[in-house]
Amino acid sequence: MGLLTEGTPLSWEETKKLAPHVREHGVNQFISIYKKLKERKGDVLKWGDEIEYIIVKFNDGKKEAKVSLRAEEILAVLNEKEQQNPDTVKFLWRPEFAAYMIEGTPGKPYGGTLAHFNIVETNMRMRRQEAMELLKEGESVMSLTSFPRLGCSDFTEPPTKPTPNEGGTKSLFFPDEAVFPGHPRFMNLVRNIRKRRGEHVAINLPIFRDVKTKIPVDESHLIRKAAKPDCVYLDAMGFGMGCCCLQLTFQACHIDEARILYDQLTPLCPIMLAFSAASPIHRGFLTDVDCRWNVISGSVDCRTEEERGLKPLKENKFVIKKSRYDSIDSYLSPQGEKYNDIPILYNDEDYKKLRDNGIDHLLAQHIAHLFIRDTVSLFSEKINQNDEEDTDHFENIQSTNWQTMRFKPPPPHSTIGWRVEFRPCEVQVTDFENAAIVCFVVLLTRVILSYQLNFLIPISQVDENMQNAQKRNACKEQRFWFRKDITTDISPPEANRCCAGTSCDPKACDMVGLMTVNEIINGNAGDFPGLIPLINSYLNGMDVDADTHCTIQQYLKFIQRRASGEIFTTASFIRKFVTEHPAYKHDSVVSELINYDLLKTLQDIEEGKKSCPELLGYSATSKTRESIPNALKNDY
Amino acid sequence: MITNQLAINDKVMFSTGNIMSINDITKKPSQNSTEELIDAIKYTLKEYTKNGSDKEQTADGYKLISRADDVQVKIQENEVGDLKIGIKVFLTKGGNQPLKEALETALQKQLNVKNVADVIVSLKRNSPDNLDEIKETWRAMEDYVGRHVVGELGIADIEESTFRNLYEWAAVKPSIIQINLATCCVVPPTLQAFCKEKDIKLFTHSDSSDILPDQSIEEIFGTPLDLEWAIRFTVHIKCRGVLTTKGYCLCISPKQD
Repeated sequence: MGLLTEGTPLSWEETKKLAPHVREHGVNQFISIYKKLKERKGDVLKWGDEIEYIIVKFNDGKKEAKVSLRAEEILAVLNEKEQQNPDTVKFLWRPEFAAYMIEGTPGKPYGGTLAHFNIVETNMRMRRQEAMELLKEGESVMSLTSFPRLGCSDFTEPPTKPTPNEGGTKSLFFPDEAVFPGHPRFMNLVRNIRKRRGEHVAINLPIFRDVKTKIPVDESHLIRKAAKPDCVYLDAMGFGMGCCCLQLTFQACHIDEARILYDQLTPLCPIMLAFSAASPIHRGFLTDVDCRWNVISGSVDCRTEEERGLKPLKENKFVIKKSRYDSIDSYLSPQGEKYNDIPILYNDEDYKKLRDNGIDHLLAQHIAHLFIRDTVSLFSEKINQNDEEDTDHFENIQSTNWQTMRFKPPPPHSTIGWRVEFRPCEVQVTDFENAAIVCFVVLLTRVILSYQLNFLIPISQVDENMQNAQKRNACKEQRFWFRKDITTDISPPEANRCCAGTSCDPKACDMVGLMTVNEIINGNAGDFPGLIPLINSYLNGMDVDADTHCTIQQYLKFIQRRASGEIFTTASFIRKFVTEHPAYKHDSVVSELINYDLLKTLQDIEEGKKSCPELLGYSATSKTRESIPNALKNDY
Repeated sequence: MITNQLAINDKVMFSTGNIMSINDITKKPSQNSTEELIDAIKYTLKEYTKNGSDKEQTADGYKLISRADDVQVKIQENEVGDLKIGIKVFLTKGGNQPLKEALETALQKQLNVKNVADVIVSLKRNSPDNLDEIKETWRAMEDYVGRHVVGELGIADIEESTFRNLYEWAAVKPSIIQINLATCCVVPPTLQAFCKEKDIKLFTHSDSSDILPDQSIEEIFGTPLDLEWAIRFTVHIKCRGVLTTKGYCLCISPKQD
């Protein structure tokens, strides 16, 4: 979840004092990177996925499932291979926020030929296998977006107790031991975010109201004034950053293509969030939301009361509308400029400095906007930097702006180009599903570039979509703002006239309509072509080998079915499992037993021991394999 | 029946240009190639009649119907070495002449390039395969490889035994075999193994071997005509998975009864 710097973390008081220093030098460092690398061109497509996993410990005798706090131990072994053979290792493993989480990526990025789509799922499978080999009896590595009983009593193995009055987290529910202990960054972030905010983070998720659901949900509201009685209250960073995601990074051929991909994928973030919804249960309760997004957003919301608009501004400079984990606030390509319709805050001196150094308005405001956030994690060894060579201060702020999309400049002195990260998706239970989503999104980027499609809608409408995307059963029931005519240059003459002027209000152009996920992905005869038909059309013009095409067809069929509602989202499947469980009392409570049975079932589905057409469809197998056939190795 | 005013008394060539820049076609995605080709011809005819020009009489004496388009611009936008240009030829009858005419039209009139990466041939389906006819066409294709105009050769929709025979016989071995997308999940293991052993690329397509059926021709032109040949060209940017250009050329002539 960001830059892991070795060293000694500073106290909050010291960190706070150095915030202006980090901002000043961070901006300088970006300027230096930009000057060196703005002309970089000709990079090929390389891309990779990131999957986070939870280590679960089953106790079959007691019918219990806990999170196992062994990530540090397991990572030590997983990282040995990388240390020995950094160039040939098949998977890279990294720590994540929680002591029960690990993050895996392919050892090398995938390349720009279509045959790479056929090795993704096998890589995911073998990656999981590599971690599985290090497990103890009863343990499992599961790609779960949220652990359903996170923060319930005794949810960890070994058992731990939360310490509301001492330690770093000070949560009613989340013990310090569940934070990854192997690197000081994580606990440091917990502490600094809480201290900067001036109080505990507070997340109130509306509870799913079943016939016997008790309101108030529990006694949290008696202890904490931030807790709402009819909500599931969460008070620790771990509830959010202890969730797992599926992320993707692509290399663009130059900075302008990176801007285009950043912008064009932005309107797809809420759609893919709704599509991948997988986290309806938090702290042992069924909630009325299907996604992790707002939970994480709230879990790292370091804004002070002034910044949240609760008190007049005195110490702080801005009232800031969003958490540092949230959807992006502005587009970066010239085409996107007219859709930037929400206020973009920044310090004028940062913006001016960026502009004075030759950076255009759109990129300057983006970078300056990132720097409205103070550093919340600083290491003593990294304070004084050479802005021409080092990038830690820039990365410090960049990597703690956790947004739907991330625009990533090339690391200095590397062969890596300008990149874009796609971050909204929830992780799915099986590798088949994760591979399908990953390939779908990468194919979509190729279709966007090939046909020069235009998905842009006003940012305010993307934000509205982000909120709707998280509602219960949004994938099937919600309608989202989406651009009606996505073929670039031919829009009706009125729209052209309207949108050409600077005074234009793009909403008035009637270019944007409300569509379901199904209509967006599968199309709507006569009105909207649909993302999957566009992908198929693109594939018809490409050289695709038979096995890869078979695999892609299986993925696309799965996506088609899930978008159409023919099969469940992970979230809907989990809801149905809980509400139909014989031990469920219609009170929204996910008991130890239900949690155990749910996770066992998901594990069986993942391992293929149990077929689950209602989640995966009837043909959830592909022709994925470990490597690309020789005949295609030198292909284009 | 857009073309009542277009009298087809002699051979006519069509070039659709880059159909990826025709938004009406992009908006009707994932149709099969026949539907796509029909739309592309109709669009080309519409532009042609709108701009009403007679200058298409070529030096070779036949009429070329085309539209203003961006194929050559798209090609020039990139370094030649970064592009992969591929051609698929759909032949309705044997003999060398249609193949040569098709390739010359594509290379010189439409693409204006000296060479392409590969040519895949699709012969209007005879059952069983007519190996002699295939060999005759193949010889002509080999000649282009010999002259470095074409890099690699391939063939579509061929029976496995015919393909093996062709492979054994050919001087320039096929590097590509194209099978229908509908069968991509059920490729015979023997064919898989053969391709693996010989490093042959087993690609998919979604084309009918009868790319423009008589019925469609009659619907478009309002009179029965013969399709002599058709070609599809595609231009990709290597290693980026970006398709920049795609289009068709074809040749029709009055029915020879």
